[in-house]
Amino acid sequence: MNSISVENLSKKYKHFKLDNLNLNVPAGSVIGLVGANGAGKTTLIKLLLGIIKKDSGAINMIDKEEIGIVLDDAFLPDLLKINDINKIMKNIYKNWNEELFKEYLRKFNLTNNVTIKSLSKGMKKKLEIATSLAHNPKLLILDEPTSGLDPIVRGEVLDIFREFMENDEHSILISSHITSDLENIADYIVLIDNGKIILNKSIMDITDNYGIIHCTKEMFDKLKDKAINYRKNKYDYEVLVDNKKEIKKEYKDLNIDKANIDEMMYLLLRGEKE
Amino acid sequence: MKGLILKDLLTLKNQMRNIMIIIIGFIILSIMMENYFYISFIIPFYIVMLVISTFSYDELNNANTYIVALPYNRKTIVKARYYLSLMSIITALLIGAILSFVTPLLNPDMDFMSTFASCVAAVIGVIFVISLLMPCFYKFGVQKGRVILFIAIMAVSSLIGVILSLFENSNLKIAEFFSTLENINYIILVVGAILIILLILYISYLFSCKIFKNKEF
Repeated sequence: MNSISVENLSKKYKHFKLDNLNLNVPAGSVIGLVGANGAGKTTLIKLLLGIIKKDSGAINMIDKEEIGIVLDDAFLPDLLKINDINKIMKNIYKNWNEELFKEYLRKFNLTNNVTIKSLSKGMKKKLEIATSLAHNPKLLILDEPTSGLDPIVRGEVLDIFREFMENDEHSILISSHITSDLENIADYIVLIDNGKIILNKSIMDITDNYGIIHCTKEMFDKLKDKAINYRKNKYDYEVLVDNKKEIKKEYKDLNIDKANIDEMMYLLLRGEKE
Repeated sequence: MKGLILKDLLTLKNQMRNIMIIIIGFIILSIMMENYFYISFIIPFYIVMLVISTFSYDELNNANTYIVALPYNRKTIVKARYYLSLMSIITALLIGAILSFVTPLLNPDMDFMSTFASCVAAVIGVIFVISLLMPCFYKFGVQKGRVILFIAIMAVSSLIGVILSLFENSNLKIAEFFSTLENINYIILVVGAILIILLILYISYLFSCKIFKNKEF
């Protein structure tokens, strides 16, 4: 069962196009969407939610009633007060749980009934996250939900998402620039660049098979057939590989570092190829 | 849909202090000018125009983007706005009726019927305005919408001017046509006016739906 399935999705703008995208979000999984600014992450999320219209392709998703959303830079009018959100949402979602909403507000220290406008960026984000969770959704679509949050609150929020994932039917599609957050909770990493998906791998696959090797020119010459991409630094070469077990067998003394998402992204997007 | 109407009402409620200041301003102005007719049409007019301000509130915080992502179809979102308009029209007429009752007590020269008639005229006028404004705002947003509406009003009024002058030059007598209106039964006139208002709002609603259906945020 997929919570989201996207087939050949395309959307064209004057200077940018999302091109023939295929993506599945299986129930029970967390998909982390990464990519540079303007790569198409928000465009994809807006297409899924019907905020913009697709040119072609198919989107199949569970009912919007069962989806919780946090958008990047969009929420209810900021002249509203925190308690107003409860009154409004109670009349929007059939499953709105007032008690649960208040519990999240307490957890996030949002107990004063002030206008959204008067909240700090981080507090506002927390209010949006509380709102996204209080109708017991099955799927969360989150565009940069942790941006503007301090590390402690980010940790709390990630814990809440982890708690949410304890139910097998639940799933999350989350885009973030803070890739360490994704390493913590995602099951799959999807890398978008220039409107195309250029990597869609499970975290397990990445941990088991991907690696980064820092080596000399001589070593690089031997490895270069096995490299996906590389970068020539001042003193050494940085090489991204996706078959580190084989390489390890061949070159026992070679040190292969774990590939973290930031470095992988950099090498995949900006690295050179032989 | 209730949630959407509530969103607008609660936003307006949080602006109540500003709204009251403006209404009190109108009352003071009216007393200073010793013109009680003024409040009986400006306040109902202002109340209906408040619907327009909810469009600007939705542009705050990109609320439009968030709202279309909620489990509503786009038609319902537009419909909620038009229901809010109807609610504001009814409120304006009720307040107009109260004012028409009160002002003759302050100024014996005035009577209920003539004051209430001016209030009804103001409300009908403002319905025309919002019927034009709402599709414009859906199409162009609040800032651009205002400019485009201004251009449209200029264009339409000059067109009407041209047509009228053509009539004047010909032998047709418009005055004669309007004088026949006076002979029509008063009730038919009122019912006709209400039907025309509802029709105008409905046509405006259809346009707004069509525009909003394909709108991207």
